[in-house]
Amino acid sequence: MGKLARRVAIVGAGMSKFGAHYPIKQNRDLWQDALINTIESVDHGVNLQKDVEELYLGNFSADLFNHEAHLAPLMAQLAGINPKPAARIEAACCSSGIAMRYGVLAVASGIHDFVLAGGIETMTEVPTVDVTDSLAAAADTRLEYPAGATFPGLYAAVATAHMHKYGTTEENFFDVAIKNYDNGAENPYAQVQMTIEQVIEGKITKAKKRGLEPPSWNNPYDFLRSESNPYIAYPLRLFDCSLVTDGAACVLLASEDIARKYTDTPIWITGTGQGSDTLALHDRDSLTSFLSARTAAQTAFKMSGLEPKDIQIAEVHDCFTIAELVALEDLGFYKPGEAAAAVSAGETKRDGILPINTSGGLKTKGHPVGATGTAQAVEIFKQMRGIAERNRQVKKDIERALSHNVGGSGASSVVHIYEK
Amino acid sequence: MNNEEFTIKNYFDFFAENKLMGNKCNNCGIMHIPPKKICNKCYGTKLEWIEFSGKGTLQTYSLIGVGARYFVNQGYKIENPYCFGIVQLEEGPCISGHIVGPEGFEQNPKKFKIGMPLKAKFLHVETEGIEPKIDLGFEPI
Ligand SMILES: [Zn+2]
Repeated sequence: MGKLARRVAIVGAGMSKFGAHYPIKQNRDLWQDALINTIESVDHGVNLQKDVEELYLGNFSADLFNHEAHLAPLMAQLAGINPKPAARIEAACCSSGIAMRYGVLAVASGIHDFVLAGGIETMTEVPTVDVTDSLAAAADTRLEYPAGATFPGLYAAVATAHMHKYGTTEENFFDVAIKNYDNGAENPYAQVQMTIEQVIEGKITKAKKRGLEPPSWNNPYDFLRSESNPYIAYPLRLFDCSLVTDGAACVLLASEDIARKYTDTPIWITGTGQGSDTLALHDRDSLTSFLSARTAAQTAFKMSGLEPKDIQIAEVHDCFTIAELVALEDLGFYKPGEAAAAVSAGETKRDGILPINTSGGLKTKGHPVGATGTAQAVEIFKQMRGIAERNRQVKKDIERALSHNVGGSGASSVVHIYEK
Repeated sequence: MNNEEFTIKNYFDFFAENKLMGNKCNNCGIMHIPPKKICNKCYGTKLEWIEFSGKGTLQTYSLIGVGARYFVNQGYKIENPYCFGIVQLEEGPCISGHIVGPEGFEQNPKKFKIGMPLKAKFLHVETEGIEPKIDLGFEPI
């Protein structure tokens, strides 16, 4: 019980560029970009048509965003794998983290030797208020929505509770944002490739061009505290929120029997865990921690035989800055209420003791919700192989990593542990 | 009406009578809001309707500027946010509600304190494109 029946490795991983692509690129186009990027990542080459035995496709809500619902057979067709099985998996923002988990379980079971797990979401086709409403469909639409809940609003309620219980401040949220902007600036696949300093410079230049008095921000905190960073859902401001994004990402999973046919450096998935919790935030025992994530983490750690202190790098679900702090506490990296001080001390920067979200995270890489889980795996794959682009490769050999992907306001979670 | 089935529709229909109704497990005594057909604690199936007092305390909240369409249609916007809150009822269970108060209340974070006492207020909402309906709100006592 609780063990994989055989070892499973990622032998290829890739993604489309994340951004606001509509109408130039739509679901099927971004998916093919991700496929090509994935194929190119396989050291000894791969023939998807011949080799892939099943597609597990994560997608939250193409129904609402694009009026497309039956996505998996189409994406399987584009990968050349019809008539083999393909189905869509929905778990809000952790749809593709769970698609990857189901792929891992299928390969570990012996049913398949080689599968494709991916995720896709294109959100910019509809106006912002429809994005807000579609994301709110991941909450309890009968009980939370009529009370005014939005996706930022629910995380803001978690933030309010966290501030009240632990004394967490808005500055603590800014620390998370500043770090993730620094990381995203080094990621050519990220939606926003600018540090906060560069964002500020841009605003000052714009003001001067218009002949306006340029703003007098002396540092990122001045800017983040200003009216130029309005409250979307108090206490969360614009720069605390992840982006509205279009994108796709994939991983190729192989059994231990065939993994070395594709690469000499397979990335083994040694732990996978998933959890659930009440859909409505109001039914939870804790408003500052997610039981689903703690459950997923415990299962994954137990499976791998590792502990939080063994993990060298992690991609965590920072759909809002508060979510990164909650993640660090739920994963056991820090005690409840202690993550904020560690982030402020720089422990989670690229050169810190536990680099978090070197990709830029959902905050700046972008958050095409159904693609986020597999995109996290893409970053881990690169960091563990030492091939992360630009200046964001961490300067140590990564043997053990983790990804943490949360659905909605914590009702679903999935955690993976990776070893070389 | 207390013989009604424990459905979500019946829970909302009680709002028209200004009643906040849930149910209580005859076996273990735990209360649910809205009512459930299967007890969440002992998994028994013998439950009875009970009326909640509507009094409670604020557990957490957010003042939402970029709102759901339903609230945008009620006139809320970034300069004029509304308050989403979670309230623990005095009987024990928690529920989400729109937290309302006098003019300007929802726009001022200083007015809100975790633990502040509130009471239920049934909000009659009429906006474009939907049938008039009644939502659960809370206001300061
Ligand atoms: Zn009971």
